[in-house]
Amino acid sequence: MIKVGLTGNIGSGKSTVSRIFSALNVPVFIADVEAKLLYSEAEIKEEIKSGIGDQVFDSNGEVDLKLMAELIFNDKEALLKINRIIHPRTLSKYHQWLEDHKLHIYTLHESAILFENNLQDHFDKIINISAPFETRLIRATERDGIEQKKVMERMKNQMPDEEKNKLADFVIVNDGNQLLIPQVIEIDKKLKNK
Amino acid sequence: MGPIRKSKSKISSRYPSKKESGSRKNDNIIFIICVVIAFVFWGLIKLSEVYNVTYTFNIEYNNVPVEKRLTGMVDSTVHVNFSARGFMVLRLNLFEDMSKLSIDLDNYSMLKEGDEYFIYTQELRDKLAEIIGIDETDINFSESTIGFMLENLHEKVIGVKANLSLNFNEQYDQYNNEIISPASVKVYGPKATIDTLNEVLTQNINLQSLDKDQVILVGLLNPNPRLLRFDPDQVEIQIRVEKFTESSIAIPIDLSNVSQDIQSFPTSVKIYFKVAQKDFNNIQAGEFMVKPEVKGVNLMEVDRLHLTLTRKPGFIRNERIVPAYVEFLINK
Repeated sequence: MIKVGLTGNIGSGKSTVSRIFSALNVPVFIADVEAKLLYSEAEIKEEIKSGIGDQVFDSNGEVDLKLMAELIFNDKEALLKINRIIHPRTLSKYHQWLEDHKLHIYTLHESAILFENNLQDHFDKIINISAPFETRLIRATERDGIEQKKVMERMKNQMPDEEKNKLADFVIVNDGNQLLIPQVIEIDKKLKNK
Repeated sequence: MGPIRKSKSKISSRYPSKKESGSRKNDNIIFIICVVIAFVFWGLIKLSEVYNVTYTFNIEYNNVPVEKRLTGMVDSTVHVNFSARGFMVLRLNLFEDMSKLSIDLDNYSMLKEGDEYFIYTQELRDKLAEIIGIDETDINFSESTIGFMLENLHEKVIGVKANLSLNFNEQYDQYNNEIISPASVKVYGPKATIDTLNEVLTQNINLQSLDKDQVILVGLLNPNPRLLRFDPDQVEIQIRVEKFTESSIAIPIDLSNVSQDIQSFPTSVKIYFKVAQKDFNNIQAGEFMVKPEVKGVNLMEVDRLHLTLTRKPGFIRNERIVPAYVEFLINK
């Protein structure tokens, strides 16, 4: 089974591309969703509290994901601590998930920060979703309903698109003009023929 | 030396001296002034005398009944015999307006005979007495009636359309369509002319920097004043002005109108729109519906489907769908 990593910067359209792969019966592991699920586990919450305090918890004792996002985008030390708590467990979940899907020719692992977290070695092939900066900025601003300034701050923490394109095996251009489905089908064919 | 002196004396007797010449000039001026004063007094005496005159007034008809049109005048003048002081006679002759007799048809009873209408001149006594400044009993008409021709006009009820040029302050806009009262008016005119009319426009109203409701009384634009009349000839326009804001909402794409089993990418879109601040809290996702346009579309031949907003709240405007097109896969 080929393990394919799917990445792309904020606003590049990873979710839409993942859904297209899903429609082609390709199993997709969405790291961000799995990581968010981990935040509700008691053990993880305790580790977060002892690591960065209770500043990201709401009145019900649950992790407030908005507060968490604010914190980790502004505090690199907090980001490292959270990564140390969440990433090993997310990877562990991924490996379990791979076992469940081992009969498929290939599977996808969607993660925005695949290269940033040096996870590329866990995959046989990597697909990067590329889109112009302006397009991504507009998409992320409109989707998340946050100011452009804040989106740009988050973008700064990500590896530039050009570098990701160089490191990736496949690049899907999602600039709003080029059709996505033909690009996905082309990659799907290549991976299934390997 | 002696003869020379004699000669000088002769010259002085032939030509009046400067003093004599000035005296004669003064005499002439006094004479002219006396003549003028005498003439003025003579004129005043003559003008204050009472004269019996026959005067011709030009007739002008006003306020023709709205359902009729004046097509001709049987009598365009009326001859009036009256006794008046010379001052009044002079005034009538000097001022053209005085010789015009405006007849307001609203104020007189019109009688009909065949195609002609007429009014009794006796009814005009009051008005003439007022114009001339004499007692009405001193007025005699040479004709007992004055006649004119009226044509019955056709009637059609036609809707009024506001002709507005509006400009709003930042964030403000017109809330809903302007309310015109009455919404339609009766139009009178020859059948052939009114049959070509589908709407009646108001006069152009240009309002700038609006930020509150407006109520305006405005006249109607008559494309042919000679032939057409409106009843009423003005309407009231109410314009509601509200403060607007931009908003957006995520709506899933409804594929129920697609005969084949398809999946769209993305599965939901964002609707951007303008909404009055007072309606902002009434926006609910359930009031929106976005569907792909598939009528006449062969799904095997297209890559993307155009989306359309098939349901939306009535109070939003300037809506746009992002993205406007979606890609799709046919499930087999």
